[in-house]
Amino acid sequence: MVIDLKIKLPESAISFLLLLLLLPGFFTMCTKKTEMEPDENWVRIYDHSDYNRLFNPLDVKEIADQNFLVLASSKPDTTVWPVPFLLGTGREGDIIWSVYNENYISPVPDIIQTDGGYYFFCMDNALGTHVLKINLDGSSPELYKSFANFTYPLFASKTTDGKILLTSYNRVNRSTVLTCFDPGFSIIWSNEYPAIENYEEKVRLHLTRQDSNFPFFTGEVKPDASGYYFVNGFYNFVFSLLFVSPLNGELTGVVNGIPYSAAASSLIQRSDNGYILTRFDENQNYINSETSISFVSVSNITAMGGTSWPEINRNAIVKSIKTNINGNEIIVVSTVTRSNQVLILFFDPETGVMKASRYFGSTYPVSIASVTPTDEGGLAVLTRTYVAGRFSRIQLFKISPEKLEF
Amino acid sequence: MIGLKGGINFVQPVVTKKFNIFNPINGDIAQSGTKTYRPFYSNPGYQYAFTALYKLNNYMDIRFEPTFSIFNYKYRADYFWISNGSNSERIDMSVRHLQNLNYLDLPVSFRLLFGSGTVRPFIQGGLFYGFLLNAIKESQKTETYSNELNSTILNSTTETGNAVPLYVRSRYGFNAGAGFDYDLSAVRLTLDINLNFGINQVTNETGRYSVQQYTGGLYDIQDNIRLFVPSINIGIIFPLQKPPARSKLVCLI
Repeated sequence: MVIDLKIKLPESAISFLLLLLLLPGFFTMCTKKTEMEPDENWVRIYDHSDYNRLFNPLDVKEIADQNFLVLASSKPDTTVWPVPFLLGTGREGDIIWSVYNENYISPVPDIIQTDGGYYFFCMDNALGTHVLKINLDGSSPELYKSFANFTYPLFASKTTDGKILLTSYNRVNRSTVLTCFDPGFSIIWSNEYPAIENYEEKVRLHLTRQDSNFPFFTGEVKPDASGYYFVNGFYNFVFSLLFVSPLNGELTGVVNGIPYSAAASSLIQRSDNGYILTRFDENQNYINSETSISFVSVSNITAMGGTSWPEINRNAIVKSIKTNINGNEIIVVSTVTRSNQVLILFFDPETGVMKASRYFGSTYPVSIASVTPTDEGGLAVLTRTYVAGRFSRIQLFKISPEKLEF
Repeated sequence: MIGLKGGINFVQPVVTKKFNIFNPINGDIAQSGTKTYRPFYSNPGYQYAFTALYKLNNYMDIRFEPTFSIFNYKYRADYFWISNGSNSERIDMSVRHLQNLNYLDLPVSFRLLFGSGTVRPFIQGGLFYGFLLNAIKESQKTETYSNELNSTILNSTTETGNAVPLYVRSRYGFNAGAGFDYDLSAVRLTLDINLNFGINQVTNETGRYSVQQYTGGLYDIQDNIRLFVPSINIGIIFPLQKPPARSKLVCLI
């Protein structure tokens, strides 16, 4: 049986049909861009199934191919000292490799990029300080140099002229130590700033994450050609911000804190003579983007003024960087709120005026470890989170420049 | 001719790429947070439509049927942590997600009818374009502690929220189906089974991490998905005028 269907369509029906067939294409053209490159924005949590194991992130650096290198510490909850833990991720945050080093303990930030490699300071069980070189192939970091005389390394940073600053605590002399290294980790000078009390127990509890975190940090300011190095640490009977000569570490000025209740939490130079100082005082946090600070006299942290930020968490860690976002130089001040969100504030470097704020994350406790600019012009934010409200884990946000337009 | 149509649908998400906030450091064990989607028969929804039908001849017509569609699909993600590498103590967290999507679909389809009686089978096919009207997400999180002696629920919470940022505003694809047309002279009744293939991805990639309620609290981000939607419909069609003369039909036996 053959059925021959002879169909004759009126012209109006053909026009109607064509119109309807074209409609989807028209609507599709009108649809805004909804796909993105794979690596622009993401958040990753690096989880471990052992709920007795703790991770504490310390620093992140973007390396070749927009991959990331994460320095952290890790330990079972039954031990005291954590061991170094390194994580290499792809550009979308996926783990490429991870490695522990059980021969050393207590790694400290920052990751130091010098001489074409990546390094960090840590300690051995005899409390001596060591520099380990990170192998980007995922093999265990290897010993680069040792400094047995330096005990309790606390924080390291790199200066604009390539030198390396390390602050540590001398348990014998009860003093804060600042050491300046050349790019090859050879000592240029080392100076001690004595404390009156014995702070060893406080330092141990800080490094083992068993008690309050102290905002140990180092850095530099350059109000003139020579400038000053600074170190935040125990001095006399308080936690103080010390300014020293870059030539020999000689103390030039001090901003005294208040014992266990007030101290500086970050300092950054925003312009030739402008600085942003953050501080905490009795459960409140203050940000002063037009601070008047002397590097050659003795002053008090409670006199440093600034705007109160009630939403910032008690004694919060604050990380400040100067970078370039969407073609504009900007100061990025990052911390966490009492509602467990990462708070990122953006300040104009010339005027100190706050230009924008961003909030990330929610629900579970979080603390900030590090913020670094990315090659594509955004930010990577490393935090510690408590997964499911319980397990201390590493969390990494990548924020695209589009999310930071203001 | 105009009419009304309605029925039930079943959504099958087709995953083209999976995403997970969790990355396992010890990858030698099962990964937490991987989503498991429920099969289509577990995802019932419904739709109702207005039908405008233009009869081309006695065997073929073209339909335009603006449709309000309610799509549901479900998935779950499981997480676990064990004590010192053994199963003697463990904490499990299970999160069940229900995604509810409302679309205004604009399908255009051809229908080819067979036979000449009052009950005639037909096949149909065409294109559709849909606008997302609303999206709601409901999640239930349950945490359980277990040891060798017993298992205890630690916590169970349910939360609902806006999911519109997670999806693109448009969805398009093609339809294919078959059914029966029952001519009662005054009205015509239809029963059809239709397969709706979305050819574009409905996940909004730029919004994948945008709702912090889900990323931070539930560790949930959307996979890249397309929607495949089988549906069953019944309809009623009212002639607006006297039916035109049938096309010439020549049968050669």
